[in-house]
Amino acid sequence: MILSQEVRALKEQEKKIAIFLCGCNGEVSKVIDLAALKDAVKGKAGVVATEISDFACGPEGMQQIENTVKSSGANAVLVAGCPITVHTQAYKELAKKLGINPWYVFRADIREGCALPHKDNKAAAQIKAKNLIAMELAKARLQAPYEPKLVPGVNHALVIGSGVAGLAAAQDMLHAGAEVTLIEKNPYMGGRVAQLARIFPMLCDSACGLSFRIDKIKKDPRSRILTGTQVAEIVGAPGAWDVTVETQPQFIDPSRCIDCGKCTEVCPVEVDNEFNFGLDKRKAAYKQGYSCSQEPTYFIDPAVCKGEACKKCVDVCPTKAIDLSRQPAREVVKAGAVINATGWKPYDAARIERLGFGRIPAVVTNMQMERICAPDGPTNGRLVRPHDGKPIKTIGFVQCAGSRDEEHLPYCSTICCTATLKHTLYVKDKAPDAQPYVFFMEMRSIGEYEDMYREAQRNGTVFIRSNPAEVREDPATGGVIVQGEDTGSGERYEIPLDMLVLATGMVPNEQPQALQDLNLLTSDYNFFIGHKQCFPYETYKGGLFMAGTCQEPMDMTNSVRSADGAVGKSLAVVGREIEILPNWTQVEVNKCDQCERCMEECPFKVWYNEVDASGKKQPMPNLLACRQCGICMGACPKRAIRRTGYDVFQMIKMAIEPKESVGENEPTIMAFMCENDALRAAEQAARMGKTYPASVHIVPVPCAGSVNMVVASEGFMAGLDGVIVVGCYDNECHFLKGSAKANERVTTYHETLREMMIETERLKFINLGIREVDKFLDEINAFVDAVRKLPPNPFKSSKPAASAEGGVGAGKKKVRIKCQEAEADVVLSPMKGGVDYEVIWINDERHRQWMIDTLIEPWDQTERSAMLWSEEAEPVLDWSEWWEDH
Amino acid sequence: MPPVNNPEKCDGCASVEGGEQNALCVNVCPGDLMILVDTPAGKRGQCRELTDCADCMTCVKYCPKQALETRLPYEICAFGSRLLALVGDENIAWTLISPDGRVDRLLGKI
Repeated sequence: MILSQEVRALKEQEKKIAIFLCGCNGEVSKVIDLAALKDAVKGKAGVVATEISDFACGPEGMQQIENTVKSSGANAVLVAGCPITVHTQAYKELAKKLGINPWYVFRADIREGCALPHKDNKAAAQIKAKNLIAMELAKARLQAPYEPKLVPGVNHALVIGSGVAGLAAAQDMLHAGAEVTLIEKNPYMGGRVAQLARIFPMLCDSACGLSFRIDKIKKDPRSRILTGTQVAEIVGAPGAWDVTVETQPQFIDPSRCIDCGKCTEVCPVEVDNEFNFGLDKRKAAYKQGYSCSQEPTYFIDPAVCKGEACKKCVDVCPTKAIDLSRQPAREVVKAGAVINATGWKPYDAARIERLGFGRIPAVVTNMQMERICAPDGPTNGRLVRPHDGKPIKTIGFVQCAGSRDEEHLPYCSTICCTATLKHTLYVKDKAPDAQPYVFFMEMRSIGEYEDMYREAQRNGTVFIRSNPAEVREDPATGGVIVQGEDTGSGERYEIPLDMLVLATGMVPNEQPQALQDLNLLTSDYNFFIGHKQCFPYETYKGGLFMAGTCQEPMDMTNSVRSADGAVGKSLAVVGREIEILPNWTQVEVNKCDQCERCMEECPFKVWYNEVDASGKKQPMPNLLACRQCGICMGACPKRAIRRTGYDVFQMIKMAIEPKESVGENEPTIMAFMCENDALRAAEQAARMGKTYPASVHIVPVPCAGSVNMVVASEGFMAGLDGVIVVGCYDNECHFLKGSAKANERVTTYHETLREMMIETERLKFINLGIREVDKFLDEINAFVDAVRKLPPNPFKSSKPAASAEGGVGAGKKKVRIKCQEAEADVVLSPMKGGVDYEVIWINDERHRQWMIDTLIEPWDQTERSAMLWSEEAEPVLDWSEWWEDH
Repeated sequence: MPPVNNPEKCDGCASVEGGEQNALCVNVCPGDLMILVDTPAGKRGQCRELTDCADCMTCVKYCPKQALETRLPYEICAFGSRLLALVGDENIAWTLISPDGRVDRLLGKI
């Protein structure tokens, strides 16, 4: 496993930044005076050139950038104009053309972030634009360059399951150049499709397609097939899986078996044949699979074989291929990707009591019907009843048997209607005089399968819209009588049938414990649906993909399609070299205290402990599995976690950068907005022409969860009046827990603020949806109003850059205090003891209540109230002297 | 000037593997005075010997939930005064709250 041990020194490589102020054809320049802005920023540290452009992303603008970069020797470009989400292509190409590292092109949003929403307050917009550019410069100075990090990969894929999806995945993987290990639980290959007679819509023999695929895979020198094998353990990350697989004991050595069948003849053990769904029996020693199965060998079922007590097969085998003492075999497969195609099994129809399966032999399931109609089935494909051989003249099909039913399977299995239509075509093909009946609720033969519905109607199948109420055996004929109400005509019916087929639904196969332990994303019914709409292949563990019916009920076409898709997803992590996604996480081991908060908070369980020789554990991220959200960075109390592209130190520097408030008595507020959803709402608000107070400076972050509360601490200490953290809704968070974590952290921080007697209104967490423009405006306005009512940041007042007016007085003194942007007339009174002074009167309403609450000592009421309202205060104290003494 | 833990804010540095090795206050105390004790709500940090505390206040600074605060002795401040730390990356803000409601703040470097 590739580890990130290096302590990465921030590449404070001398950045020479060229700034371009784009007027955006007037959109920006009609609000912001670019010439004044240029004067304000050109002298900042690291800036080698500052130019004004009317249209930076246009051809002349791009040419201007190119010329300036060449002449000034800049190695980084900062364009102040539109946000980073627009004109991305143009700037990507620019970076490439100029030979600038792609991460050294910075975009300060002074359009959607400043000019548009503050067009009603140009003075404020001017100052805010300067602040935003200063913030982006602060970020730029600490920016590390993009360097692709390559790790050796494994050019091997493991496919679990050799049904049609697993076979398609294996074949595609081989075609793409990887090696494949294909494991299959059963002794035969082909899965459910091997048990079908024909497949819709083309009604060809299923054995044809299967043997084609199996053959291709077997012939490929890079493939390995292990039947009777399941996953025992699975450990690793995308690009580096270690999967321990266990093969059942092979009592018959496949390399010595000559397919003679003598072992079967003498075997005394008989059990239900699961391949034929219990319609007939097989021995413990048997040949499994369809008649043209590619696997030549016979097989002894270890679960039912009598073992050493019997040994009849051992004696009779002409090549001495049988050894009943063989043990299960384990091996470790190293793979870059794992594709899980474990498929489905039919729902247990015996649980649908009223339909009689299990107690009436003439009632069978749809899969049993396939076996009856298959040429290698228990009746050799003849349309007769398996239990007594009677030819079938009348046959009924009950749709939605145990499906769309709250007591059985609440969902629809999508293919049973079309499968039944196929069965009616089998029936008519084998016995043209037979009469099929279909009892249905809705016929869901979707898409072009509608053609089969028409054909079934044309060839005489009777469709009755009904859910049969009762099925009873007819002892005279050995068949059944079905009773119910035809909801189309309203009439009751009682129909005698030779056989009744229940169209039961699909249930996902049980997963091996090793896979269950991975807690992958499943639906309520154990299908691996991932994130169903957008990312159906998604699992918590990247590099492990689901294909076929283990994802959801689907027809064969879609199973194959989903396998092709899973292979497409896997190719990123199968191969000789893999590139780690650029914003990877690194740990400064010196700072780390091994508190393991990162491990708990990572939603994808990417962190693990690396144990050194002395037993000391160091949490490290698995870079191949890391999703680059930065939630660990937000959690680390020691700021030991960095993220290459944009990290906590850059956020801190951005938060403390604004030195000037946008207006007199305007607070300075930072809003950390998740760039996935929340930020879009803010941009949209600006584009729609809405305005909001300019005090709010927006800082995009990869996820609300990546915001470390140290940013708020440093921000408040530097004088910020308010901090907002805006995340997406919890069920829309792209990183599962990011917003929830941010909310938790803000709540804890409120406790801290409250205890320190700092107003908790200064910090807020907001959930925002991507199109919630109105909510954005309401929340911002409410927050700014709340902060405006508060006195200035208490840390601002403790660092007075003060000037004081007035001379020395005695006793009570009135002074005007200016403290950065705060200004108030206060009256000071000597405290008891005469050493310290206290504020007992203050003119600014905003500060008054706060100071009264926190600073004024309980006094004699009359004296104080006289002072509070007195206009005859004495002339002032020399504030500087007072401060020197204290 | 020993530290006092707020059990509602402290979470015992609860970790996936558990154990005292992982609590920040435990790791960072130069005198090995901090321990985790069992409470109905889970493990919580506690100073095991208040009189041995050398007043370095490292635990107060490093607690990730800011659950620790210092109770100042009478020589320095009135009984019941509380000293709290707000720790940033390079800066630290101390807040001193006297029982009479006076609040003093001091900014410094870590």
